[in-house]
Amino acid sequence: MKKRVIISIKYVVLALIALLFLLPIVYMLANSLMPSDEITKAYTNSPGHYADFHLIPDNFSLEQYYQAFLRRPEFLNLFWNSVIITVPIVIIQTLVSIFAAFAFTKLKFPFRDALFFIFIILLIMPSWVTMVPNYMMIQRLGLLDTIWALILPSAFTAFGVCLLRQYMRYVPDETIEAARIDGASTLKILFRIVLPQVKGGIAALMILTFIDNWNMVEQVVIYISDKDKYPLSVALSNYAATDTGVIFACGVIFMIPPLLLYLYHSKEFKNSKL
Amino acid sequence: MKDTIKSIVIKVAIAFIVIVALLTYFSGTIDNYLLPHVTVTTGSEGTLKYDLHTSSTLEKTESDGKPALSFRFQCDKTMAIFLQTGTTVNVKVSVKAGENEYAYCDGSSSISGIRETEEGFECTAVLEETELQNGISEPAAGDAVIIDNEFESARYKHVVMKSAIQNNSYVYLVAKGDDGKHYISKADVTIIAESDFYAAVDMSAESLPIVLTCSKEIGEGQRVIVDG
Repeated sequence: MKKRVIISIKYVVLALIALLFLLPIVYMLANSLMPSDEITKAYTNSPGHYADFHLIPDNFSLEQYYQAFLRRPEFLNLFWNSVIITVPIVIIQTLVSIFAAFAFTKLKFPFRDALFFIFIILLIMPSWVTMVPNYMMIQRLGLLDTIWALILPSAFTAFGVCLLRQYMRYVPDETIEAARIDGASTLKILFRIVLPQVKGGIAALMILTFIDNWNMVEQVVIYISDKDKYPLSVALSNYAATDTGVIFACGVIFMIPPLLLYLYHSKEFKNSKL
Repeated sequence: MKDTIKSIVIKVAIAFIVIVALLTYFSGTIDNYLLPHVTVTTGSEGTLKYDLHTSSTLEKTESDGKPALSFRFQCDKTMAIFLQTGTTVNVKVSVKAGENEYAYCDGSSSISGIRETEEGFECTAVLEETELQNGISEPAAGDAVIIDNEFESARYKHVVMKSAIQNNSYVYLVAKGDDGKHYISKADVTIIAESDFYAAVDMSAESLPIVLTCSKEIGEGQRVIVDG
């Protein structure tokens, strides 16, 4: 009986915490289904009139989605900017991390551990520390104000290498030796023996990289001056003051790709023990 | 089970990408199709006038020992757009005074240039800082003005406007959509005139009708778009 009560309390506490985390999403969804005047009213905080936050729309309306999808093409363009920036980063970073992690784990070459130590140092350093050198390098390469200024620094990071290295360490060396004896090349060993065993890690890396770069803000503001090249993550905050209603609908649309990616990899992600 | 979820996710993802891609590709066409066609009326000379009729409850107060009535009026009217901040607008306030009643204005009025007239007061008010919403900037020649009826998510785009400048260069525009609604860009020019008016009137009066007239003389080359 006592055990049941404890379990029930645990569930209630966890449910409350989950609710707390879900609240912003629910709030965004609710606001995206309100008409403009209701949202304006909700956010107007003038003397004698206080903000009127509420979750249930007084008047259900798809006006914000109508505006976002059909009347404000700029938001869709910004959405594609996000896609164009994020997808190459995820692909390049995953590929680079797979090869580098495999080399650091299963191949033997001089100064391997020393090199990996440098990777660890890079991982420890916050991204803001490397931002100035990155900026100077990008400027000298003439890549400022291009999407490559965002893609290149983000595509080659130590995080993915370290993450996948940890997964690959658990792949038994015996299986690799056995494959090598059977005549498998290094690439074949990587793709046929190692990768199937680290699918969870790759899924986790892809999801984390995608979310991290999908929400990119600082790099965009620093490297890109042309606002037409901004991803939706930055543009959302720019439009927040004037298009509050549409921003909620855009937020919901913006949320869909990471959600779908997570759902696709959910099983691997759960099994990845992250 | 796992494959079922994955296949559903893939289908949803493909559908989402295709829909967004199609909407993006045809966004210009869709937007143009949904916009009302705007016709433009041009070429009237004169002064734009707006009459706002309102009433205010007068409170009995004392001013220099005299019985007085004071009220505050606020003219909140989307009157015109693309009038620059700082534009002077004439505001005329008429207070109906009865026989043997005399109305005068307190000198501490926040309205500049106030002067008494037989009917009441004439004064000038400077337009408050206006903010063009939704990233609207002042349209260049040839831009059309397309605003929603609610004055909420107004914006302008597409070149459909041809404003004829007459000899005397008086021009104002009323943009009317083919849906019968008037379309006007968003710019709430709020004229706020605040003043205390004292009238040695019948103290039994509880309220007085107030006529507030806001007008703006159209200058050379200026375009003023008014709410129809």
